[in-house]
Amino acid sequence: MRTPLLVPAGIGIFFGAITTRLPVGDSDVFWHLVLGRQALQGTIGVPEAVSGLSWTASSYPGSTDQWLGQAVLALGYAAAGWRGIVALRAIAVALLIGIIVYTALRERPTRPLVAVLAALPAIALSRFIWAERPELFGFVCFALLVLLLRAGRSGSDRALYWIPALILVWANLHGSFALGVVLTALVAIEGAVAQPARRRMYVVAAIGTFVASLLTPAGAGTWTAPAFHLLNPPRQIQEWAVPDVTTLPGMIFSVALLATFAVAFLARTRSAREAVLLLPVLFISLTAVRQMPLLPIVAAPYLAAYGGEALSELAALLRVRVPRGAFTSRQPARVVDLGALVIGGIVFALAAGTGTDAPALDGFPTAAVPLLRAGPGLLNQYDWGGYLIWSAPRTPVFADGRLIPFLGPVLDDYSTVVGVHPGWRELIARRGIRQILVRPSDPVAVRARDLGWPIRASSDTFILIDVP
Amino acid sequence: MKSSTLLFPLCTAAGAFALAATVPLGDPDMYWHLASGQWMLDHHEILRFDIFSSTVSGQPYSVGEWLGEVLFALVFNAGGWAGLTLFRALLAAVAGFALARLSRRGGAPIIAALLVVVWAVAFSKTRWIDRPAMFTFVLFPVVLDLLYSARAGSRRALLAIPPLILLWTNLHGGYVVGLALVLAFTVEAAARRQSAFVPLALTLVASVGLSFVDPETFGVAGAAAHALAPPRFISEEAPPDVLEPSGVLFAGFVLATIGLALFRGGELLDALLLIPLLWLALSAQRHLAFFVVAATPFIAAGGARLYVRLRPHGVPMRPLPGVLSVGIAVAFAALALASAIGRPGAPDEHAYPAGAIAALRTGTGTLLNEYDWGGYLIYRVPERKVFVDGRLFPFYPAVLLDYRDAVELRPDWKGVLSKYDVREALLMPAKPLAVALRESGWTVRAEGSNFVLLAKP
Repeated sequence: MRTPLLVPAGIGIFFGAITTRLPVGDSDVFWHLVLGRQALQGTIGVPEAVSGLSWTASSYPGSTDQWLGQAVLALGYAAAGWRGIVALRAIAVALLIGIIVYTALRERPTRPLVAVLAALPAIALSRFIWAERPELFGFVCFALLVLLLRAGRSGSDRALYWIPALILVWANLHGSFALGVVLTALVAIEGAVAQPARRRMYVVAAIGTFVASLLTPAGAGTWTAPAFHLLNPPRQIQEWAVPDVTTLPGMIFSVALLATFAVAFLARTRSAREAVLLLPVLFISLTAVRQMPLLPIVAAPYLAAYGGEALSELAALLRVRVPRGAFTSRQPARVVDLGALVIGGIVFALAAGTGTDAPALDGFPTAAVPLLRAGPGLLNQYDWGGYLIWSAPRTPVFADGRLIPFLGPVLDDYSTVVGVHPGWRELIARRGIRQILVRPSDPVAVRARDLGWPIRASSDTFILIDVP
Repeated sequence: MKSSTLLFPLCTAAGAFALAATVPLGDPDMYWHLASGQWMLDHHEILRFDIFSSTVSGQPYSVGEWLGEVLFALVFNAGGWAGLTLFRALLAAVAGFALARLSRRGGAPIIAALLVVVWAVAFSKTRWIDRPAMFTFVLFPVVLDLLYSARAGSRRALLAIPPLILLWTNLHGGYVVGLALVLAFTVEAAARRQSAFVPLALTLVASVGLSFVDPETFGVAGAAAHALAPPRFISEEAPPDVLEPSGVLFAGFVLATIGLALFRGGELLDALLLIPLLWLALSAQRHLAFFVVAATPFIAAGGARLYVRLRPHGVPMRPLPGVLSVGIAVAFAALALASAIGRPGAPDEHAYPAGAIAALRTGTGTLLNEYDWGGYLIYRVPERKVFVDGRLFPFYPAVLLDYRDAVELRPDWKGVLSKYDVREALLMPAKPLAVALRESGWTVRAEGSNFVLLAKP
């Protein structure tokens, strides 16, 4: 049965249009744009010593992962300024949500309400990843992979063949591609056992996927960042913290997780094959806050497929009568789908054209920028590094959201100074730190005030201190 | 009960005993629980107000664990540190016994049950602590096992539950989870088995009623509030990290449960038990064991069925010959005995500021101490009042906020020190406050690799 586009497209475009009203200001967008601009100029993976973005990691050879995602962002900015970034974000969100709903609806084409309910946790949790950076593109690829894997498993050879192409793009967009390769391999192994007649298709998809993941500027090295982040998540960074189910995103995650358990316990139809997708994604989603949305995305089609059965079973236990055929709808004609897409496209274009056109810089030290000294010597708040790379190019940063160049001594020294740990003053001297730009509540700011160090500027957001 | 059905739980109990007996005491909260219990034994009344701190001195508070504290103090008085170690091992043995019985509730063959029990015990080992919370880790599997017995037809098992809940309520605040277990079985009975519903409902009513027979409980609402807003700065109240060793073991249970549920489905009871306990486990590390214990029968039974499905012609397990059974039982008993004999004789205090005790005894004025050392100081240096300690509730939130502002060198750190007239500070050397005080001319009265005692000049 054909899966109608009306509902997925409508919901995707609705949320995409909403995002055009949201502010831009992810702390990482700025350095992604700078690296994207370099990529567009044909220089991918510029060594730190050449780019001069930071003064503490000059031996870093440069990063090539995410180059395509960064280039896409830079293209958007070059085309329409911040409105271009907003439009890209809106397109990505619309695609993400549209694909999630479509994948759920594919399981129950005549029950759009069930599909939307099943997709609701994923839609709600996706709000926390509507950020203007390549990670969002990675989630779109993940949602698309889930769709292709499910389609492939249910008999579509074409879907399986598309997977290597998806991974080729994904591996160049964002490091989350590794999960896609692993999931494809697992589905291929399971499929080869369960469907011997299609074994060759699965083998081709798995091998093609792995090979595609190597077709990046870094080659096999492209696997190092995902593996490192999975096994050594930098917990001090909020998005890499352990998931907390007492927070709002954690509660939304819980809804998806507990609903999955409830359906697995109560549905009459056994669905062991679902474990191949659900189990690895469940584990990954438990490893860090930023991975949480993965589970609701992969669970949405499962909940759509079996949630009704589980609810019927529960209703029977509670002796509640559910009328047969409840919540079913007629399939819309193709022309209705087409009409919806056209109207949605127009609405979307209007929204994007009139959307946010400037970043929200409330949380950044804008007033400090003109007072920064040129050249090395600034110790800046980690979260502001990207913004300073963008807004104060003559002043290289101490550290920024790229993280990997600074792992080890740089971040250790950063923590020692900002946290006023033993030896902090010796480190300032040894590193040659001349200015400190941090939050007023940071221990180093408090201590510098105590010691009477000159304060160049301060606000509720920042304090800029000259080291005497 | 046949001796063959007792062999496995008894061997598990002996194994758990042997493991627990080898782990030295050293929980930071053990000390203030012991001091509280000792005070109640000395004064023949329940401790309802603060006597240990300088910050909330005389203020009323309750940690809802008076009987647990008294029991720990009694055991200590009778057998010292070695006695406490053996007592904890005994509690672990009871928990192991109940866990082993639970593992076969779904009809799992012994080999499947054994594998899951070993896995669960390996996990539980990280939760064997030297304080009243240990009673919860024992009573949880015991009550769950009784409920399964009742579900299988034993009405006598139900009779034991209300008295156990009464005991649990006075031992530790975790009794609320016990009430939740009874509620889950009652709801299931209401939905599926009308005849079992009435006795279970009566048990639930009696249990809830008896849970109020506690002179100092902080109640179900207090427990719920604690679960919904856990104090994250305490490590056991942090969410579980599935990349840490105990988190990996826990994640294994979660994945096995969902995997087996997808493979063979489940019952309403499984959903009623495991879904809330999974949320609770994810809310804080200290709750992980509840899910692990409750999932044990499901995983053992499901794992066995999966094995049969994957290897339909595999070798079936036969009962062990009698001689071998006796041999195994004797080996486990010998292991437990050897562990009891070789138990550690004193707590492991390497993480505490033992080198500062002499200087603390001669010091004066308000002492600002690390949160984790409060209990240790209450016990080892009773003449000095602590600033904060692991009792948490008396200090929440005002004193804890002040404590954080000072120790983390927030903008008003000097104001906090003068507000409480702090004269000495016992801190980890890396703490920002320790660095700032040294730079501000406070004198070092004692120092070690893990502590520094500073005095106001």
